[in-house]
Amino acid sequence: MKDNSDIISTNQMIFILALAMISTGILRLPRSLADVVPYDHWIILLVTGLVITAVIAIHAWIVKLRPGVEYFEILGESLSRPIAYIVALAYIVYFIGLNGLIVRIFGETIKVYLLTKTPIEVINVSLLISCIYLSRKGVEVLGRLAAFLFPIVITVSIFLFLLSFINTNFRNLLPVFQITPVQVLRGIPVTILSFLGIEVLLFFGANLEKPRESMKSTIAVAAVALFYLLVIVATFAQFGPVQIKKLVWPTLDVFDTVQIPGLFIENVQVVVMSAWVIAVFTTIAPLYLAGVITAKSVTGFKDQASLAPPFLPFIYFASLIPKNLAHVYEVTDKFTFYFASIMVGAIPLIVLISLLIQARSGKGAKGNA
Amino acid sequence: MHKKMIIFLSIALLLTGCWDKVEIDERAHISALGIDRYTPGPDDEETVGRHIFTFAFPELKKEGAKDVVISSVGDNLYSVSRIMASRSNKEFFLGHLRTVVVGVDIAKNPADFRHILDGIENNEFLSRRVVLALTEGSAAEIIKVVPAMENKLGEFIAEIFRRSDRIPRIVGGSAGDILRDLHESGNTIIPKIVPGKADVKVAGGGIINNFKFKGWLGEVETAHLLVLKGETKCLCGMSVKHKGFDIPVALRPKKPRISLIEDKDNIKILIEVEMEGDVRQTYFETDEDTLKSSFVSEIEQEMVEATKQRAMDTINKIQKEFETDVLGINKYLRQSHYKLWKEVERDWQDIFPNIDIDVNIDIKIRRIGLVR
Amino acid sequence: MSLWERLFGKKSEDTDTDIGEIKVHRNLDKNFGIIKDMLKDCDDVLYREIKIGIEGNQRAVVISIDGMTDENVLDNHILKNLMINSRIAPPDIGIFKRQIGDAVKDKTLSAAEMKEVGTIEQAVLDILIGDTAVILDNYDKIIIVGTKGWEMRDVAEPETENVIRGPRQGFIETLRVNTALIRRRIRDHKFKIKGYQIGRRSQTDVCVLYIEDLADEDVLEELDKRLKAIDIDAIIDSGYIEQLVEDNWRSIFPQIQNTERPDVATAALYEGKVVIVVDNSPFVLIIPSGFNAMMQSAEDYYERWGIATFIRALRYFALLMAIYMPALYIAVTTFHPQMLPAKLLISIAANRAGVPFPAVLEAIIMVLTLEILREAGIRLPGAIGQTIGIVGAVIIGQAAVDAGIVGPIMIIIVSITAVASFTIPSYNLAIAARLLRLVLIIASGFLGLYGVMLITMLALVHLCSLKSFGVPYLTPFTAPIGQRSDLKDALLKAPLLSMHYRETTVRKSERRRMLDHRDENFNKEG
Repeated sequence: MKDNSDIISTNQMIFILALAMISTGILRLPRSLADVVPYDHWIILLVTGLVITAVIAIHAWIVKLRPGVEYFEILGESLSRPIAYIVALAYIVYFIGLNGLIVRIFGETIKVYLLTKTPIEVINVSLLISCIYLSRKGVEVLGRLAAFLFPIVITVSIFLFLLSFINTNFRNLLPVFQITPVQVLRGIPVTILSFLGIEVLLFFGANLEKPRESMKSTIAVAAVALFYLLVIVATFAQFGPVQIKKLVWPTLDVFDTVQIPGLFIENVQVVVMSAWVIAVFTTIAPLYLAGVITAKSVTGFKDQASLAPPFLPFIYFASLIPKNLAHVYEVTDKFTFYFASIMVGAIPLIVLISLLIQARSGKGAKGNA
Repeated sequence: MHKKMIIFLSIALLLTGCWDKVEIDERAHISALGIDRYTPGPDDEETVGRHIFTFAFPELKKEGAKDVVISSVGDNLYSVSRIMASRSNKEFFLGHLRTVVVGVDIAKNPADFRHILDGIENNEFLSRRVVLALTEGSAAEIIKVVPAMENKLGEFIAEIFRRSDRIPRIVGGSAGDILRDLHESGNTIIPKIVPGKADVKVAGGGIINNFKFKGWLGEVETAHLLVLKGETKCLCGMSVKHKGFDIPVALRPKKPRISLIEDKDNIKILIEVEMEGDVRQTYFETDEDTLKSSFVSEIEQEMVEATKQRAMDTINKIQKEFETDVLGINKYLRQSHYKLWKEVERDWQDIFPNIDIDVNIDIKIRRIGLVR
Repeated sequence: MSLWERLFGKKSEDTDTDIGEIKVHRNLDKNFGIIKDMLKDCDDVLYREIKIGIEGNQRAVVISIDGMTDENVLDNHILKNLMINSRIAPPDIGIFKRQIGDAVKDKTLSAAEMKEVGTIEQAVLDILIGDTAVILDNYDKIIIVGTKGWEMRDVAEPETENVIRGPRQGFIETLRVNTALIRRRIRDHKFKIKGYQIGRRSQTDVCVLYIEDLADEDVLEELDKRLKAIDIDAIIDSGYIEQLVEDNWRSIFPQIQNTERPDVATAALYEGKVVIVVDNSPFVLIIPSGFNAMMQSAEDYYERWGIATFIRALRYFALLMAIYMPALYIAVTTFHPQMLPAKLLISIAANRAGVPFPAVLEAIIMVLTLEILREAGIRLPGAIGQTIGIVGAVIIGQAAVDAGIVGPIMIIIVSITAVASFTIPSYNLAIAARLLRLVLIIASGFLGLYGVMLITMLALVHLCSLKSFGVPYLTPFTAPIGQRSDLKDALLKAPLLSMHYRETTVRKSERRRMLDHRDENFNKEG
């Protein structure tokens, strides 16, 4: 029976992408923006949103051109087999590295706000073990999970941000329209980090039920950009552009100011941390799964389930590479600016161009493809 | 195979776990904290520390529970709360700390004051909703007060502040706001707290300029400052002299409108406040007819004059005596006149005392009571 | 349709399909001997050797089982007809000699259900089912007369799934009565009942019920495959079938709904689901069924939508409480007390002061005590069971608090949890919730809220990976956009007039279930 057909609908793909994007980037997005310019952050956000939309459109185009073909096969087709192996390995390293960094930052937040004395190793490993469980199940389960969780996560977080508006001064968002194009350009790189995760579209594209609708994935970017807009408005209205620069995780500190008298809960921050666990899980799990899928196509292994656990030690050690939190952020920045932009932006672009050239030059040679 | 490994791992995890588990009754839920400057005696070693920290936490009894108060000398909040663990059978927990009272001696020394402030902001359990207050004497004195109405002092003060927008003379006092002001300009106003016999009184505020204590703002001045900043919903307890009698009027100010009337060289600010008011009483068998609109407008007029006078006095004191922008003019300029702000930002400390600030007050009396 | 016919075409009456290898002999004594040998030491078998015909020269044997046959049919329509009526109104002797079988079958026996079998084994099996075998001399078939009839329970109100409003009928242990209860509610020739006999020794009747043009063919095909794959000695209850055809038997979550109510089973059939009725079990199975179906009660559909929506939302909330309350209590009090308002915190802490155990242990003790009480209450006879419940809950709880073993707040938490878990309509889902609760308690004892969230994520991944006959378990929540119409009947219950479509699990062409023929003004006023 159609038990594990690993087919996901376009809607589920959008949910996966949206949840994969929302992760540790959100924690420091307001601070990074405040460092660049004290006003008009929403313009930077919208411009970045457009850039990311362009990137995801490239990914979607690739998926559309080769429906139902795994990304590794597409790589081999467009870049030749040997290069495809190297690039695929680079992707695996990329997923391990990115996951390691996200897990690390996640562990640090949990350690600060929830479990101060628990070793970070326990927090990280326990999260990764649950990711293994998901990776063994495959894309179909991930799609359903994302579709189930997305409405919950979004409703809860919007509600929480709205709560923070109770004692907020929106004048803190002033002045507006002061930003210069140069400042916008400087703001884009720090914002891009918050959108990483879109690349899973390339890897799950083969599982799409209707690959022709892959362009709809841009909806996910729009949704996430809107959500970030809410985050930025909430944090800046609460703290003002000056104080935000001083806060390590302004997005989490917003909820510290929420006070709802007469409620069962005094401190919503703990509730926020629970939503935070979901948000990070739904980022790490797709990345983990994408890594496993790549490994599966590189090695030609049939059994996906047994490929998942070997990733754990690598990600775990990657998460331990940065020495301290300051180092984590330095490493993350370098990782995003160099590695991520190549893997997410440059390589898909090359692949797309190569596919388009092939399509134009060799219509007769399509039989080989 | 993997399944066995996972089971093994999780069992290992479970057997070694529980790092953070502390039963609720094994914690000392600190509700109030007082910080004083410590002047070392001649016999003290140098390492003793610079501050006295006084903690209050409730006894865990079902009835008639009081606060337990203990204090210790140390350098900062974190290390002291650790040191206290060796003197107590409970884990010190700051998650329910609601009130931090700082002795004014600390605020007089910017280095000490900043040390304390960062200790508060950086503590992950200490919420931004903590009330921060200054006291003239010793903070420990206040922490030791047992209020007659409520045995637990931390709750008592927190409840006063929870109603702060309905009490005229209290500055908001939440650590989040104070810290934000200090981050932005180094200036703020912190509520003042005075110990009584079986209660404490919160009134007035201490002006902080560049992390240094400048002086106290009186109760009435504080009330008017709050009106000018739009941080209170009532200005009660004000009255107007009408034909030799005091007539109390309860005022409900709306958010003020600030505008810049820009002179080339001199910055001129206009603050407009609209208020609604009720006449609470006149005098018995009065000759006036309170139902006549002429009487009402007379009262309105007199009230406007009196209020404006007090507001101007307050502004004067802030500008001339304290030379500290706690009015939020800097914030207003930054938000609404960014170009001008960029020009004056660096010298604002010197410019502020010399700018012109004018106040326009408009009072509309709506209700005149039940007796004609 | 060829596949269809191959799978579900009417079983032909051809004797070729009879089981067994021993063909019926023309010689009566030989057949009789074999049967007697097979049914040796079966003292409930009745053998009646008779002579029929005017002269009484045609020998016959009537075999049936005492207690499983309807004696009225046996006496009046078989024995009386063969022995007396055939002599009063004798058939043509020629025919009688030549075609004895047809004469008896077509003209003598006046029972409704009758067939011929060609093998001894089939005949014996039919006897064991409760039918009566008539063996004639000089005839190579055995005539089987349907005389099934035995003492059975009356159709009564079901013990589980009680409703205030709704039919009071419940299924009983007899398959035919159960299928009749459903047939009475579906007067459509498309409604099919397909029989299986499962169990090497028990040969239990299992019927698959479906409405031909609504049920998903894939589900039927898969079910047929899974039922035929069952090779077990006996099927005692529908629970056996449930476990043997389930998708994921390792899971703690039930993937097949069971019900004692004919109205629920019928409603499921109209939704395009398939119902399995098993003989000797008053619980019928409904497939495919997801989480959503198990959170619904029949009454939701009979009452007005407003209250039904409220109750359904309440039920989901109660489910969450039943699963999470103790775990959250532990996490909040021992790991994150900053969540509690100061006054509540002081009250909890003061009440807990002096309790020697950690909160986790306290919770486990109380939850286990409660489970023991519940189990004891079920096992003990009715009246005493209730007493034990009350005595246990009140006295043990009070004494435990007085002795300082557990805090009073914990008693409150555990009691609320228990009450909340009773609101879950499906008993087997409630069991899963109980198990999950225990796991969560342990997890929260180690990692606080983070542990709770981790287990939640694992449970969710597991739930998302479950399927019931190809239908994802969490439908419609896992495809909220694709199955928007299903959401009208999930967390909420939309008014009946707005539910124009069947569930998306039904065959695509048959989604529409209701048309709105009222004139437009009607809606405006409403």
